[in-house]
Amino acid sequence: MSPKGIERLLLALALSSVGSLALITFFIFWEGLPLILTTGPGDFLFSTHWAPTKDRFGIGAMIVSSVVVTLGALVLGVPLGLACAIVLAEFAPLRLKQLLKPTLELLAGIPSVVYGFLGVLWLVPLIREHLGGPGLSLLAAALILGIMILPTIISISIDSLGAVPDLYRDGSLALGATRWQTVTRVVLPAARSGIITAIILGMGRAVGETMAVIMVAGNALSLPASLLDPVRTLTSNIALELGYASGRHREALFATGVVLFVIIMILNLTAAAVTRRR
Amino acid sequence: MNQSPPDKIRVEELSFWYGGLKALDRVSLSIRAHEIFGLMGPAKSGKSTLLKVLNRLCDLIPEARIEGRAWLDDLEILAPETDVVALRRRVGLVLSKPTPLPRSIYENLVLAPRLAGRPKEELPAVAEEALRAAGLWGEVKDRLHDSALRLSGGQQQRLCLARTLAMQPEVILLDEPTSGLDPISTAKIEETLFQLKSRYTIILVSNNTKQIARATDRTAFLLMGRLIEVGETSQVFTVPRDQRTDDYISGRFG
Amino acid sequence: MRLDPRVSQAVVLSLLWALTGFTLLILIVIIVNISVEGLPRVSLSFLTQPPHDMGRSGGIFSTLVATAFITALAIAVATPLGVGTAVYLTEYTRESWLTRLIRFGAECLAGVPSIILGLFGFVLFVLKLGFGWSVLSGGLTLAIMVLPIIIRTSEEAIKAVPEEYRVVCCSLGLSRWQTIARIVLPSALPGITTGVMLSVGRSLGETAVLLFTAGAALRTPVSLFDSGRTMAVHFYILAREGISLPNAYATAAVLMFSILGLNLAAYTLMQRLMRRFS
Repeated sequence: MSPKGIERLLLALALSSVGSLALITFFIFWEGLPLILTTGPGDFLFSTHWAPTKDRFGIGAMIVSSVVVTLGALVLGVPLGLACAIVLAEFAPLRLKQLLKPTLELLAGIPSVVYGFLGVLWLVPLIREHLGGPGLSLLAAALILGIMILPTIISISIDSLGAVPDLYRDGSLALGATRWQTVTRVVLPAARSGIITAIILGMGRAVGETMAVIMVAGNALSLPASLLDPVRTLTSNIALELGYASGRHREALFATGVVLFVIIMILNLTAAAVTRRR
Repeated sequence: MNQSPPDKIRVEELSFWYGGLKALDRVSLSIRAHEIFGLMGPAKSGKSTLLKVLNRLCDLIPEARIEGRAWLDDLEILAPETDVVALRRRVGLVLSKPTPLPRSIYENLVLAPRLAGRPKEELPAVAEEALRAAGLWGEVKDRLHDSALRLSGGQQQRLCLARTLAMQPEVILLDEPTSGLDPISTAKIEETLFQLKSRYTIILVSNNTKQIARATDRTAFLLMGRLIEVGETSQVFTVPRDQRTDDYISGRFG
Repeated sequence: MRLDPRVSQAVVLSLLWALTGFTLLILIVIIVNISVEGLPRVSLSFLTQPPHDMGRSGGIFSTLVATAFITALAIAVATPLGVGTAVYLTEYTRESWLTRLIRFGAECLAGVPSIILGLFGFVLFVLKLGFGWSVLSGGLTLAIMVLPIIIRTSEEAIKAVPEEYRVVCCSLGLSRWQTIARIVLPSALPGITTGVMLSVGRSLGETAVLLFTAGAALRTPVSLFDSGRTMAVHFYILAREGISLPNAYATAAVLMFSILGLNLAAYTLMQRLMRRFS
């Protein structure tokens, strides 16, 4: 093959990722957008009435549930993840860091169904017995997701803390600051954009997670009134009903996908923008 | 126009820029067939850049800009229609740092000839001949299929020379080939160059003036991209025509 | 009253270490629990017997075959695309709007949640192209999922190949493609292998994508157009429908240790590479 031919072939291969992304966007919108338009965007997004058999498609409750579950996951995941990242990047001896960092990253390798399974076995009964409610709940989903986003938050935060030049630390220590003061006043502010990126990507992971959430969240259709109520997120809604849906019902699930996709893309673009500004 | 240039390599009014940085400034010179031609000068004088132009390795440099002309025999080196692969097979280059490829000694040697279309059964002979010419045969003949990375620095550099010879070029460019080597390895390489002279045209870049004086027939002195002086090595080193050449070879240079 | 900075540092540090310890504890508890409950049931016959009675008894043989089949297809499709992309990005272009677009596409694709990929694979491969719930639909959708992983690791591996090799090859009269095929790619092979191993790990644990593209048939798939239930999907169904807790645990053990083993091997390989090039 001629050099020009090889270059063209490689370019074609290189366009595969962009091409896939374009195809995904096209098909999700193609299948989902008409229903949003015929139902009316306001009705679709804000109504909490989801009754496919009665041709009522409102995903308001699911949007609220997704948002609350995600925020709940951040409440657990961010402090825990940042604590690990700070300890490993700033205080742990090198050997320990080299051992612990990959170990914690193993958390990412555990499949989401395993998290969901253990959530059902341990977390759900624990919540039911000690806090009340059915156990399958917003709280259970938030706690499981909080753990699942840890690897994302930890590894990106460690990398951004590691990228802060030692000169900054030495300068601060030389002025008589303790190591902790150095971390809060010098290192964390310098690594800020990386940590924000870590949190945003963790959010994306939480919003998009499906299997673990289906297993522990209870999947009820109503708007949650407390942390102990069962909820259905955007992702669970798709996964629970796609297997048997057809016609407008199926379109409504793709429409749910459109909303989810838009949320994820906004998060990704924000993360990319934050990283670029650095 | 049909009259062929008498010299092996001819460079006319050659200028070279890396982006906005001028590395060569209207350099003109001729290199005769079967001589060892020395190029000396302090760092950043343009010696290495000149070599990169002669086998079009400069094509790899982004934002490079070239003016002027250069010939290898009748072939216009810088013409866009020149077949660079064919040119590079005629003009071999040995880099300053020994850079064996992460393969066996034998694979390093036969890579280029094989891709140039030499029949498979000739390759062992090509490898042996190149190793003998580079004075390395005795040391490695029993471990041709060991990784080339396991050789010592001096042996690696002679392997790189042998690898270039195996390509059967007409011109060999050497870019400070002994800069990282001990005196014994250096002497072996210089000795090899003397023996190769009858078959090849050799251009030796060095910032070691003693090496240039020892090893070359004619010498050019470059300074900040300009050609200051060119002549018989004995003349350049004994009666330099330019004060700056004198300063450089006597070590009075800043 | 102001605390002595050294006292407050000691307090904060013990808290941070406690949080790190807690995170590690979660990981250890998960791994130990799955091992203790699951490993004793894993035997040769569990791996070589087909499931009986919906998975209540018997082994997981058919799900192993389906997993291998689908994963192999995904890797076979994604590897040339990903490596080709990486070669194009590193060897054939300078930074431009096009390379930025390609990188951006890969980055966004990495952030697309698996349920969206599942929707996409369902509508394109299962419905529009008529592949049905099949190994083919599942494998192609998974290929899109792991593509960003392969692109990123291959790009890093190719960039780590010393620049001198390219200069040497060029001066030996090798064309750019010969240089890439004979020297650059072989040198980058361990790094590319790392990416493939991580991708296999990611594929093994995936559920949401496969539920709607590969289906959940328990028969052993023998052609590309057969439906196949992977280990992760099987585990999900066993756990969610309460079919068999012991078999769910045993499947989880096989699943988790395959993934952790692959990730560990990939990590070790990466470490050895970094040592070689530095």
